Amino acid sequence: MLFLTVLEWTKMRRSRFFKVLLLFLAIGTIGYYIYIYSNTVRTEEILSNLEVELLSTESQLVELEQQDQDGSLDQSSKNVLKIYHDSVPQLKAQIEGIDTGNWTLWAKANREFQKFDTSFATKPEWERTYPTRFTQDSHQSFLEWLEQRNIEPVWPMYVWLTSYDEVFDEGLEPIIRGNVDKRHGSNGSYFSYHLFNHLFTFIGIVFFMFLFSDIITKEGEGRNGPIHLLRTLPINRNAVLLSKFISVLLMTIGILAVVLILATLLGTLFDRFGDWDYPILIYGENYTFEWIPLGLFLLKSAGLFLLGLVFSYSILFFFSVLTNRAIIAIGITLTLLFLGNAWAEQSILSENAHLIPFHYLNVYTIVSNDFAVIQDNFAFSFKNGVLSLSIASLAILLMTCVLSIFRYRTRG
Amino acid sequence: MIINVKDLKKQYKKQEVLKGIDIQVESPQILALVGPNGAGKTTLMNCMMNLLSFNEGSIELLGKKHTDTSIFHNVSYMQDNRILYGDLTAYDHLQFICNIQKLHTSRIQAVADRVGMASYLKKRVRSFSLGMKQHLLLAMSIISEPKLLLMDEPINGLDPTSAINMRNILLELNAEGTTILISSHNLDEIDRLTSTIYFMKNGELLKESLDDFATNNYTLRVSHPVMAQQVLNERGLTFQMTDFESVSFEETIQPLHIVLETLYNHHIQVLSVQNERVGAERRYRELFESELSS
Repeated sequence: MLFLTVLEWTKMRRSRFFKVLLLFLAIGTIGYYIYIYSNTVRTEEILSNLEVELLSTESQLVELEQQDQDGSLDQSSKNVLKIYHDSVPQLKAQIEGIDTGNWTLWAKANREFQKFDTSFATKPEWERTYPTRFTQDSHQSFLEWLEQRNIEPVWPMYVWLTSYDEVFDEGLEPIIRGNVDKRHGSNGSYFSYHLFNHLFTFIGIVFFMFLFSDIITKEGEGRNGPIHLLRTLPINRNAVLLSKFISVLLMTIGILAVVLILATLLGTLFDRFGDWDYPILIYGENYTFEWIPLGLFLLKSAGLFLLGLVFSYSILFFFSVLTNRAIIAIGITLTLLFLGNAWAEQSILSENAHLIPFHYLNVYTIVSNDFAVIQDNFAFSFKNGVLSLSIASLAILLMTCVLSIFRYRTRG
Repeated sequence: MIINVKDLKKQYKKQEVLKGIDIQVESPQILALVGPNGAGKTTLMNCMMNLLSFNEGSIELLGKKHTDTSIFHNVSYMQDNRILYGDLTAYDHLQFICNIQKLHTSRIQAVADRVGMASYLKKRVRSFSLGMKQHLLLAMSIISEPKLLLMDEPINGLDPTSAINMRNILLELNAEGTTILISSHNLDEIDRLTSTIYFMKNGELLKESLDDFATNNYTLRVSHPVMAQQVLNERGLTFQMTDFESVSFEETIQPLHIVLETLYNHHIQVLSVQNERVGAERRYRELFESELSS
C-alpha cells in the first residue's frame, strides 16, 4: 500500500498537467494577494480620519459651548452638545489605542462610541431593516472579543453587516455593501481566510477534480493501460483503489497546507502575521450567535471541503470503473456535479433538502450557518454536512467496489 | 509443474477464441507461441496472467492457482508497452517494481546495464522510441529474476543489436532456470531460441518439436559461380543463385555433401559456407498455407 501511494506521488510529481495547474494556483494566490494588499485600508488612514473627526468634533463642540454660554441653544442642540462632549474622550481613546497599538483601549472606546446610536437595542429581533438588532448586538459582541484579546481589527470598522440585514434606507445599500466588500486584510491569517473563501467552493472542487483527474483515471481500469502492470504484480486488487484514494486525499491536504503557508508567508512578509483567534461570526437559531477563532473556522472549513472532495472523487472513481475511459469519467462526473448542484437548488424547500450532499460544497456559508439563515433552515448545519457527505461518499465507494468486483469477474 | 493449463476454453461474443488449450511444462525451458494475428496468443497469455477470465478449464502456475496474486513474486509478464506510465522515468518504473517485489534498488543499475538502457534510465517514457520501451519492459520483467516469464511480442521494434542482446539474455535466463513462454512473429528469432513451438490456429494449439522439422539453409560462396551453376544444373540439383556469386539450397531438398562433391569434382572452390536453421518458418508455411496464399 505504501509503495502504491509512493507511485501515485511520483506520478503527480512528474505530471506536467499537474505542475501547470499548481503553478496556476500559486500565481492565482499571489495575484489575489496583490489585489487584497492594494485594497487593504491601512491603520494610518483610519488614524488620520479619526484625527480629522476629532478636530471637527472639537471645533463644533467649542462653537456649541459658545452658543450654550450665550443661551442661544435649543434643546435638540443641547443633546448634540452632550453627545459631542462625550464623544471627544472616546475619539481620543480610539486615537491613542490605534497610535499605541493598544487594541483593547481602541475596542472599548469604539464599543462605547457605537452605543450613541439611539436605536441600539430598541428594535424587535425579527425586523429586517438595517441595522437589525442582530447586527447591532453582534457588532458589540465582536468588539468585546477584540477588546478581551487585544486584537487589531480589519478595517474599515464603521460598517457592520449581517445576513439579517435586508431592508435599507433608500440609496444606502450599495454604500454599506460596498464598504463591507472593501474590508480586506492583507495580514497573513486574514488573507488566508479570504483566499480559502474562494477555494472552498464548488469552483475549488472542480479545480481539484481537474488536478487529480488524470492521476485517478490514468490506469484506465479494464483496458490495456498501466492497470495491467499493477494486476501482474503481487498487489492486492483493492489496495490499488484504496491507495489512489488515500494518495489523492493526502495530496489535497498537502496542497491546501502549501497554499495556507504561501498565503500566510505573503501576508507576514508584506504586512504582518495577524491573529488566528480573529473572531468569525457563526449564526445560531432564534437570532443567537457565537464567535469562533479564525483558525478553528478554517480547520472546520477545510474538513468539510475535504469531505466534499471525497464525495466528488468517489463519483469520479465510480464512473472511472463504469466507463473504463478517463476522459468520459471526468466529463460525466463534472456534469453530474453541476446537475446535482442545480437539482439541490431546485429542491431547497423540500423537507429532506438538508440530506442532499450537493448543498454542502460551498463550505464557508455552511460552517458560518449563513446558508441556514438565508434558507431559514438550520438543518443545513456543519454536522449534517459532515454526515450527508460522508454517507453519500461511503455509499458511492461501496457501489464502486461492488462494480469493480463485478467487472473484474466478467472481464474480457 | 511450472505451467499446467488444462482444457482452457474461452468464448467472446459467441465466438470460441480458445478451444480447449492444454500446456504442461515440468522443467525450465523456452517455449514459443506462434500464430497469425487473431489466433488467440495474447488472449491465452492474458488468461494465464489472470487479466482475462475464461469459460472452462484450469490454470496453475508454479503449482498455484493463477488467481493467487502471490505467484507474481515468481512470474513476470512482458506485455504491451501501453502498461507504461508516460510521465514516469524508466528508473521510476523499475524502482516501483523493486519496492513491490521487496528487492534492493541496486538491481536497477545492474538490469539497465544488462538490457542496454543505462543511458536513458532517468528519461521519461513519453520520449522513448518503441525499441527503448521494449528495453524497459524487458528490464521490468526480468529484474525480479522470475521462475516463469511470459513475453508477448518482445522483439517488436528492436534493432538487430537489441534483438541479439535480448536473445542472449533469454538464453542466459533459461540457463539459470527460468521458463520462458514467448509469442512472436519473428520466426528466425524463434528458431534461434527454442525448438519447442506451440502453433496457434483459430484458438487451437498444436505442439511441435522443431527438431522434427528443422532444416538448414546453406549458402556457399564459390570461386566460379557461372561454372558452378552449369555443373549443378547438369547434375539435376535444385538450388538458387544469390548475388551472382553464391549458391543457396535447403538441406532437406538438397543434401550438402552431394553439392560439395559435385563442386569438388569440377575443381570449383568453396570460399565460404553459411548455415541458417529454418524450422519454424518451414512448419509455419505448412500449417498456415491457406493464410499465406490468401
